[in-house]
Amino acid sequence: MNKTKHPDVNSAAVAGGPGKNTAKDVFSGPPALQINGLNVGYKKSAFAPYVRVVHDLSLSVNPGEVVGFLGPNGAGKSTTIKAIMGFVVPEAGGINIFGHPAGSTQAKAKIGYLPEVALYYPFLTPLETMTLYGRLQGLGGKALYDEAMGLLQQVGLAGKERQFLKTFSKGMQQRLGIAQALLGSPDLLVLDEVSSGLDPVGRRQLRLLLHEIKEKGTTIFFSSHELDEVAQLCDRVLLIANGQVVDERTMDAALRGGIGSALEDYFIETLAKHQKASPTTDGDKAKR
Amino acid sequence: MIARKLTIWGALAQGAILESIRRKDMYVAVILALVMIGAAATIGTFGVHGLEIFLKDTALNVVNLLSILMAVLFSSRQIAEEVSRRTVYPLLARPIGRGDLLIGKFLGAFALSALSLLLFALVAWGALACYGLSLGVIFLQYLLLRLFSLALICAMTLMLSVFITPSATITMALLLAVGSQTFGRAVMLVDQTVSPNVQILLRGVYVALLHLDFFDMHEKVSYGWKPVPAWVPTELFFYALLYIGIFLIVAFLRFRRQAL
Repeated sequence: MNKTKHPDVNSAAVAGGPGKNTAKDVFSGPPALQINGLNVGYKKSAFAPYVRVVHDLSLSVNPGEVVGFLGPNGAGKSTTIKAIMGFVVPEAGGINIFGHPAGSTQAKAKIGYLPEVALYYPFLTPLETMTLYGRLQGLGGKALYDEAMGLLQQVGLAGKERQFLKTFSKGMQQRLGIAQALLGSPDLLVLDEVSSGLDPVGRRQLRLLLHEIKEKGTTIFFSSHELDEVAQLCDRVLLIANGQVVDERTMDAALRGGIGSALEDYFIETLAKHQKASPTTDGDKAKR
Repeated sequence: MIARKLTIWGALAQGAILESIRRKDMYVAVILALVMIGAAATIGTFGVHGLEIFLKDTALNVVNLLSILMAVLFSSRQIAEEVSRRTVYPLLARPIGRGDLLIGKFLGAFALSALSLLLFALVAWGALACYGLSLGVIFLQYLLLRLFSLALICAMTLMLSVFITPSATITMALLLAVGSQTFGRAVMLVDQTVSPNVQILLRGVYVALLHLDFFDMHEKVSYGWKPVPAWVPTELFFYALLYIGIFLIVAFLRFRRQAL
C-alpha cells in the first residue's frame, strides 16, 4: 500500500474483511514481495530530462497470495516489475523477495518471470530454449528434460518441441514464455501482461494452469488488462496510476465495493476518482 | 561454486554458438575465403614461377582479415541483440549475474571465432596444398597466436557493445583491430625522427596501445621461418589474458547497472 493512503482504500477489505483469514493473518515469515518507497525513473538520452515513472511506491504480497497489479497504460506497472526483477536500478527504495534483495541470485532463484513482450531465440527450438533456461536455473539431466517436456505439454506446445521458434506465432511464443516461467517450480511467479497474444483456448488453458499453481500455494503477482481473468484468479488487486498505488482491496471487496458488480467498473471509477482527487498528477510523469 | 559457474557460462556459450551456426553467417565467410584464395591461386596456373610467397601471403592475409571480421560480427551482437530482442529478460531472470552473462557471451563469441578461424585455415591450407605448397610447423604457432588475438578482439568488441550502438561497435572495433596494427608500425617508423619529448609521448602511447601486431606471424609463415621459442606464445598468452580481463571488467562495470 502507498505510504499516503488514498481515501478510497478499504482497510477492512485489505485485511480480508471480518471473519476471513488471509495469508497475511496467518503467515509469520518474510513477505513473498515487499516494496518500500520505490522511486524509479530514466533518461531517454544523456542530455534528456530525467523522467520519474514510479513515485514512492510501497506494497506487500504475502506467500500464497495471488495479487493482480492493475493500471492504465503507462501507469508504471512494467517498470515496477522490472525493478522487482533487478532490470532497472531504483533511484530510491527497497525491494525484497522472501527477504532477499531484488536482483540478487537468491531472490531470482525463487522467481519465475514472464516478460511483457516475450520473444525467444528464433533459431532455437522450445526444448533447447527450456534446456538453456533450466541449466541457468541449476537444473539438469533427465529431470530437466522431463520437466521441460511436461511444461511444454501443459501450455499446449506438445508436438512442437523441436520446431524453430522463428516459425512460432506471438501466441505460441507467449505459451513458451509461460512454460519457461514455471521451470524449477518457483515460489513467486511474476507475470507481466500474462495473457497477451493468447487465443481464447490459450487463455482458458492458462487460467486452468494458474489455478493449479495457485492451489499448490505458489505466490502469483501479475499485471493484466484482462479483468475477467483477474477476477477469477486473484485474492487481491492493487491499482496503480501515475506510478503510485491508488487503491488496493480484496477481490470480493472490489467486486462488491458499492461501485458496481464488475471489476471493470471498479477499475474505471477508482481511477476517475483518483484523477479527480489529484489533478496535478495528470500527464504521465513528474519531471526532475 | 566453480562447477555452477562453468555450467552457466557453458549454457550461455552453447546457446550463442547454436544460434550463430544456424544463421549460416559462417558459411558465407567460408565461401568468400574459398573465392579469394582461389582467385589468388589461379595466378600460378598461368605459369608464373616463384609466386609461392605471394600465394602464402595472400591466403594468410585472407584468413587474418576474415577471422577478424567474423570475431567482430559475432561479438558485437551478443549483448546488443539480447537487449533489442528482449531475450535478455528471461535470461537475467535466472539466478545468474550480469557478469555471468558477459562471460558466457564472450566464450560463445570466442568459440565461434575460433571455429571460423579453423575453417578459414583449412581452406587456405587445402588451397595451397593443391599447388604443392606446405606451410610448415610454424603454421600451428600462427594459428595459436591468431586464437589469442581473436579472444582479445571478442573481449574488446563486447566491451564496446555495452557503450555504443551495434553499428558503431562494428565500425569502432574494426578500426581498432586494424588501426592499432598500423599505428604500432607507424610509431616505430617515426620513432628516430621526432623530438625527444614527442618520442616519450609516442613510446608511452605505443606501450599502452593494444598490440594485435604481436600476434601476427603470417609473414614468418610465408617466408618459411622456423618456429619461434615457446616463451613467445606463453608471454603473449598472458598479455592477451591481461587485456581480456581489462576489457571484460570495464564491460561489467558499465553493464551491471545499465537499465534494461
